[in-house]
Amino acid sequence: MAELTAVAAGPLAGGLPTFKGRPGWEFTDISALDVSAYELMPAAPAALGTPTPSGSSLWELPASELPDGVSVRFEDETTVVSVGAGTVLAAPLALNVIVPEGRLYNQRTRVVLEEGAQAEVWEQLLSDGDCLLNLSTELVLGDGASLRYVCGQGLAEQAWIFGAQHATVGRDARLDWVALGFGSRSGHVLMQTRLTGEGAEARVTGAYATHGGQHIDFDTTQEHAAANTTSDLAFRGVLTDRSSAVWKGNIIVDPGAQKTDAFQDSRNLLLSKRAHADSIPGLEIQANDVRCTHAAAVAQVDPEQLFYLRAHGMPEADAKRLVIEGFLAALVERFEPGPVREILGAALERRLQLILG
Amino acid sequence: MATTAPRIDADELQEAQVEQLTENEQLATINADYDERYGFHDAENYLYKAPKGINREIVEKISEFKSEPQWMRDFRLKALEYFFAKPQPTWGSPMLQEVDYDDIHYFVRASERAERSWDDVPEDVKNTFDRLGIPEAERKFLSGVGAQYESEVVYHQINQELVAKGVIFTDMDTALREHEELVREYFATIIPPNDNKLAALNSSVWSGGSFVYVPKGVHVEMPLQAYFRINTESMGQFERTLIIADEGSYVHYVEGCTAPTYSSASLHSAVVELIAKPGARIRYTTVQNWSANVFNLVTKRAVAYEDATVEWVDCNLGSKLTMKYPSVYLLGERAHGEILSIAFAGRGQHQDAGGKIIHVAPNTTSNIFAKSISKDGGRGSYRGLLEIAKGAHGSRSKVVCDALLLDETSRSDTYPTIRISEDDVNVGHEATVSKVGEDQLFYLMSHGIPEDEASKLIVNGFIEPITKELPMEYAVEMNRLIELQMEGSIG
Amino acid sequence: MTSVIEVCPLSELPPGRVRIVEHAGIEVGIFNCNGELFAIEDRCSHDDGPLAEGVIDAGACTVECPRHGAIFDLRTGRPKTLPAYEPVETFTVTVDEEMIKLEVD
Repeated sequence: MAELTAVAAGPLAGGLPTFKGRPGWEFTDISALDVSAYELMPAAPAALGTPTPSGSSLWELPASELPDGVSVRFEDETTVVSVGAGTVLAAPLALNVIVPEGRLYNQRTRVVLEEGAQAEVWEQLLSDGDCLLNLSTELVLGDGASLRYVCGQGLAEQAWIFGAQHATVGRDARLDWVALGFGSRSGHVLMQTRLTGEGAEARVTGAYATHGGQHIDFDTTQEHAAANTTSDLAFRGVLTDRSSAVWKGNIIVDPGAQKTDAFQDSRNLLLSKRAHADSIPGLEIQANDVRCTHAAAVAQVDPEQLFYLRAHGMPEADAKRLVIEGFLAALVERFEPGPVREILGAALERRLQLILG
Repeated sequence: MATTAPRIDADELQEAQVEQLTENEQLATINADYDERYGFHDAENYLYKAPKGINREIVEKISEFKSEPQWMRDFRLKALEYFFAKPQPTWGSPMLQEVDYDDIHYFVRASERAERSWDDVPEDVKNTFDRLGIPEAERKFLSGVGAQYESEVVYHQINQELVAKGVIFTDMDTALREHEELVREYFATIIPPNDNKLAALNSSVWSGGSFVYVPKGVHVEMPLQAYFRINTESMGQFERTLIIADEGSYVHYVEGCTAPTYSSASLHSAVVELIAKPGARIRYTTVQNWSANVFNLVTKRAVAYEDATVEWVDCNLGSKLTMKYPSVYLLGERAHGEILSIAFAGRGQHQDAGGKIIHVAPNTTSNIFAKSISKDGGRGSYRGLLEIAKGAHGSRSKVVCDALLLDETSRSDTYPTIRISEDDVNVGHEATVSKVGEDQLFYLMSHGIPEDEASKLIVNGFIEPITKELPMEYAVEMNRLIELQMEGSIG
Repeated sequence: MTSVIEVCPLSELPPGRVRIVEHAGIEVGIFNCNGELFAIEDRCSHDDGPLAEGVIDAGACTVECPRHGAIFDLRTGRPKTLPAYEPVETFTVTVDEEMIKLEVD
């Protein structure tokens, strides 16, 4: 496994598990992964804006001119987006990664916002077919900075994804992180947020929709390392056929991080007998003047909602579809009306259309 | 919290026995602190005390002492091999690594046999239990009592009416002698000896514990009660309990455990197996108040068949480290499992408790309700599993875990796992960690209640949904003990 | 579509022993219980780990999972004790001219 970087090799540090039940890997079986079947591809900068292979993209955002204070460089095999102090990048910056079939690709992205900077970065991960994408992302927010980072994983459904993504949020900074898990056959994505300065806030939103034999694995951490910090995590998934998902999420409150307000909500909608979901929320709290709550639920299509719609004349199939769409759309309502709602809403709708037929 | 109590000599014991405490006085003495009430220990006049350490010879000796059938001796020896083969678990608490299996006495025999009359119980043992208020409780509240001192049950009594109905309540050693076939049918079918290292240990050196069989349709109205007491320093207690409730029956079993305060470690590793046949109901209540030097590592598991119910009411106040996750496997349709858990973690303590419910059959339901309080740097953890297996459609479950952190240095963890393999289910889980609410405090104080009283009221209210499920004298004791802990923190 | 694969000559699988074969991603254990042959999935349904290497009780016709002790009935694939509660697949095994054969889908 020499090609995997140390960061992404975290979960695999003990070696490839020999059977599904091995402790630590009870939820994601990667015994079918054959790393040697993929050819290592040299690192290259992520493409800005479109083009993308038509039909498989999650969204299409044009490349826009970068104002002074914003730069996108390629150094140390990493795509580095820097936004200088006080600079406001109004238009979303679109990064596209397209991995050719049969390749192993290490994508490293680093987004750095200096004091008071504001920006929006949308990173799209696609592939031409079966591949192994090893993703390493770093988000660094200086004091008072504000970043929206949307990471859409839309790889082909035979591909493997291993990701290690870390965010550090400074004093009074705000992070709005969105993750979409649509493609890939299996893998493991780590999403860690660390609130290091007083007044830091993070909102993490995750949506996934799977079918066939897909398996999605998200491992999130909200770490409160300073007082008066807030985090709000909401993950929702829709699963059909014999697909499965595991979400593991930890809220960690360090000693002294008083007045922390941390929230975590995970919900799954299983639409077939063979779908399977695991939720492992967790709390490790070492400060007492805090408010920390987590909730996890798995349910079927809400019969009350269904009844309501049918009583208003809607045929059952349509009513069911509407309720399922509403389930994921509830996530979209976390954002302000405007382009972000539209783009995310459209991406979710298209994905649901694909898996529900 | 761990201080060594002064040695008590025989004269003092005599004097203590002479005092005839009235019921009110007994309730008032609950206010005394742990060391005075439980922290005493008796001079050791034992019939046999095994040297420290565990090996084949000691296991064979235990089996010999009990005149066991060959199959049980073979079972113990096989379990011993499993114990040696398994490594010490590395999850849960780092304190697990402090357990020194070679520094424990695995068997101590205090008396010849289980007595039926208090008068026949050896003097000093009787005094211990008198001080704990046991015979009093029995006369008033119970259907039957078992008292275990060190490795074996020294006293056992059951209401004769129940015997006439076919109810069996004896210590496990006696059950093996008098009801061998019944025991053999169920023993270790719920928790095999190889299940985990501590179950393997218990399976090889088990001694004492209770055996309960309730025949079809019989309802045992008053609780059956068992008390467990460790007296020797560096002692291991390994009781084995098996409860079988036949179709349509009901039984409530209550156990309480204490030990003197020593600085060296003791080990308590019990195995409890419950079987609720169709339509039966079992409630198993534990109030654990081991002293702060005890490692309390327990495996408790139940199976519930069609229309049956199993309820675990688990209160953990004492011990240095408790790792205990009572579980219910819902194997028959419409079975119901319930786990109510309170944990109080004070200075130097780690309560790692919770529960597991596995829905195997359709239309099953479950509830887990866990409350934990941490103070003075104590660590309270909830660890649980809620699983809905394929085929368990129509199942519903709700898990609520709340934790109260009383100060800055304490810690709370919540590690629930939810695994769902059916689409037609309804599962919800919520957990909240907080401190005593300032609004609530302010409200009470503005009504003239001093701050420390107000805090106690709030904490009592926090655990009330669970304490109200305890038998009266335990509920009273629980509340007092918690108040006591609270006084330490506010003063 | 059912295929029949050869396992090994009968003489190579004496009573009380097991032979494990792999086919299309699943591992199957073929057991000889005092002359009768049975085949079940080499998987303990408790933790999805290997089962067939466990202790075989030929008299009771069971195998015990080496990790946590769940006992499986070799005839039916059903667990007889916890912590397993879900059955595992069984397969048809025959002997044809002294050669053990296994039917798999």
